[in-house]
Amino acid sequence: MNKMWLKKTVAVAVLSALLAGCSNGNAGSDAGASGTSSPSGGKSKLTFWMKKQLFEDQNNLIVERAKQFGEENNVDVAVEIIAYEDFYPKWSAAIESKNVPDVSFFGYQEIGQFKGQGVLEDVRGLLADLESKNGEIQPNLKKAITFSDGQYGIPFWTEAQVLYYRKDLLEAAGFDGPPKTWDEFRTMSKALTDPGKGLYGAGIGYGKGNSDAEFLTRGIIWSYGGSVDTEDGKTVIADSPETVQAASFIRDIFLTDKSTPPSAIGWDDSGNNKAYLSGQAAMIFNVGSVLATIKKDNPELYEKTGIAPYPAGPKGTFIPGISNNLGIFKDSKNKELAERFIEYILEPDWYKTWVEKGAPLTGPIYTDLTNETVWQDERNKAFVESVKGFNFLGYPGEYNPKAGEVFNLRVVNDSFQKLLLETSYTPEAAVKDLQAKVQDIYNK
Amino acid sequence: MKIRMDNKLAYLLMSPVLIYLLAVMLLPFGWALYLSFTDKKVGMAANFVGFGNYIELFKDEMFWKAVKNTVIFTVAAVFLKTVFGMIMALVLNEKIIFRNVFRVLLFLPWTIPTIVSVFTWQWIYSDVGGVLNYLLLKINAIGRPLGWLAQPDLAMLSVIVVNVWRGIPFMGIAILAGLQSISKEMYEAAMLDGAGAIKRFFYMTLPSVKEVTVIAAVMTTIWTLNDFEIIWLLTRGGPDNGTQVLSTLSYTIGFLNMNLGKAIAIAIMTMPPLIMLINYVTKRSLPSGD
Repeated sequence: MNKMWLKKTVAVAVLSALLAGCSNGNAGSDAGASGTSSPSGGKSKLTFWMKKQLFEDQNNLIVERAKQFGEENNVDVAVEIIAYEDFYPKWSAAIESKNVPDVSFFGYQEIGQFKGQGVLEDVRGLLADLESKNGEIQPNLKKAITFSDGQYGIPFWTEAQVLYYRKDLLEAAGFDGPPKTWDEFRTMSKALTDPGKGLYGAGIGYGKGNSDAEFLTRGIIWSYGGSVDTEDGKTVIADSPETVQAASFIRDIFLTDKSTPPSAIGWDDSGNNKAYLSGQAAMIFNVGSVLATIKKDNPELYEKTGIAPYPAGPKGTFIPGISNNLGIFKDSKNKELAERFIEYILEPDWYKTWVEKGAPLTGPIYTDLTNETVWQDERNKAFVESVKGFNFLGYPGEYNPKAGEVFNLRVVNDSFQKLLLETSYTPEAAVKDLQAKVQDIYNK
Repeated sequence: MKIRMDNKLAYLLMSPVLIYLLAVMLLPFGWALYLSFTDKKVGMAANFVGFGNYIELFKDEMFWKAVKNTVIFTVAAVFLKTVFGMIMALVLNEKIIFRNVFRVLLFLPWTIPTIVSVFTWQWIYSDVGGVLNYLLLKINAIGRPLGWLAQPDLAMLSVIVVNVWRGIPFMGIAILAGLQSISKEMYEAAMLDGAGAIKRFFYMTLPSVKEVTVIAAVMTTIWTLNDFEIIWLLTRGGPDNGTQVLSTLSYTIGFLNMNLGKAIAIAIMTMPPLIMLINYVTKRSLPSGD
């Protein structure tokens, strides 16, 4: 009887473990297959994890460049092109198993997070070498990867969020140019909205996990003089009249004016792209991917599209910076080779071709390259010019790992989702909750 | 002596399976159980914190919201899958025209990869060109397009619908197999005795397929409790955590917040109901002597 009970218990536990594992089991399952290895006596092996780019040409160029590096240096280079949303499980598995890629893509917010965990290599020497060989890297981009004790990433390309607007619709509504202030943006959005025609002035989305919204909300809050972080890296200063004012402004666009599409609160990052491409939204904030797509696929819409920098708030224009970087894990088995590989990828002649293949989505890191013809185009100009006005997570303080964590946890998005869904939840309450949540993160 | 030799041979033959179970299931499970009692974060050392993660979770409103959502999602989805699966099986058991074609069509949702069906449903729910809003506007059921994934209640309904749509075929197949085993003569005799369709269903069909329906429903409950992809791909647990279930919460805490100890503690807490359900299935489906 006892044996029977034991048999059954073990069988049930094992089956349960298997079924429980089925739900999340695939996350990071292939991380182990892509780690570095150095076959004894054979060729060295270098592993590179690269973010999948919107343009296939850029992905192909990276793979070719890596192959070329391998041939010239007698190295096996394994390149994995990975969608951004798949990176976290892979990084987690790699860090945990110490089977990390030698070179990996990182957004600057991840540079901060992983630097905070002490798993990234200080690459200030490499950065200095690159600048002495290839020319200045835009100072604002270096700010995002620079900490008091070193530099933990090499800027690879930049992206800037700009305002996309339908010139024809604004003209028809009696406006002669894009909004210069957030108040003008609200007025225009309301005037352009016509639910009967399925047209909405403000294509702003707040889906859970939406990174565009995390950046945009900060841009608005900063321009009102508020913050979601700290001044000193310790004391959160989110709970201020200025942040409340910015929160009220966003709430009014959604709930009072109803200038946003019905599904906007559920949008992921592609939501505003789709809304603009389908003609549902007259104005959106996005990086260069939308412009590149419509230029290729919808020339008519391209002609009707205007590009402008972020509108200004009472305290001026604040653009949330987006910087994409290459970094080296401390556990990399080929650090010297990894540095050489990064130098090879950032060699200006090849890099210029690569970065311009993705224009205006991918902007150059080298100051000199911002003067190239492609960036003088009327529509492309705003993307490189915005970099000078970049502010980073953590503002008004310096960017720090905690600010990166606040961003990665989408704390701002969650608070604003609730504000836009629950009519009894006031901007004051939302900002107080936001303050408490962010302070919790800084306190840990 | 002979018995001992037989035992040795039996253990030898069983050893690959035992080693497999130990290496692939029990050891990782034991390790996961241990990690749930630590403050393990990705890239950091694990420190033993006892029941710290469990206590924190019990105090966390989000955890209880996820528990509530998991229960609503699972109960509603399993109930609807069972009802519609039964209807599907009853229809496909009849000698209708193009029966084989209908069988193939109705089983299709089960065979389509989740990612494909989720993208299709995203389009169906869209407020720009989405067929659902279009139809509802056409029949004047709504005045303006609805954001199906933008309101917590509607989003929960929407993810349940997709789960039900994907899960009906399994229930249908299982119940149809049970229906095939019912003797035609029984129905003929009942009809001669004047039993109508409803009486035949409740007094003959239902008791005959009860066993297979219950087992299939329990299996479906286990899968639905663990469902992650549909919710993650459609809503990521939003809006306002309205579709946050235990599997998405565990993923968020484990892979985005990188707090493995706490994420595993959530997974461990889903085990007791799973163990009970699996025990129930094994008891009913395997003879007790085996």
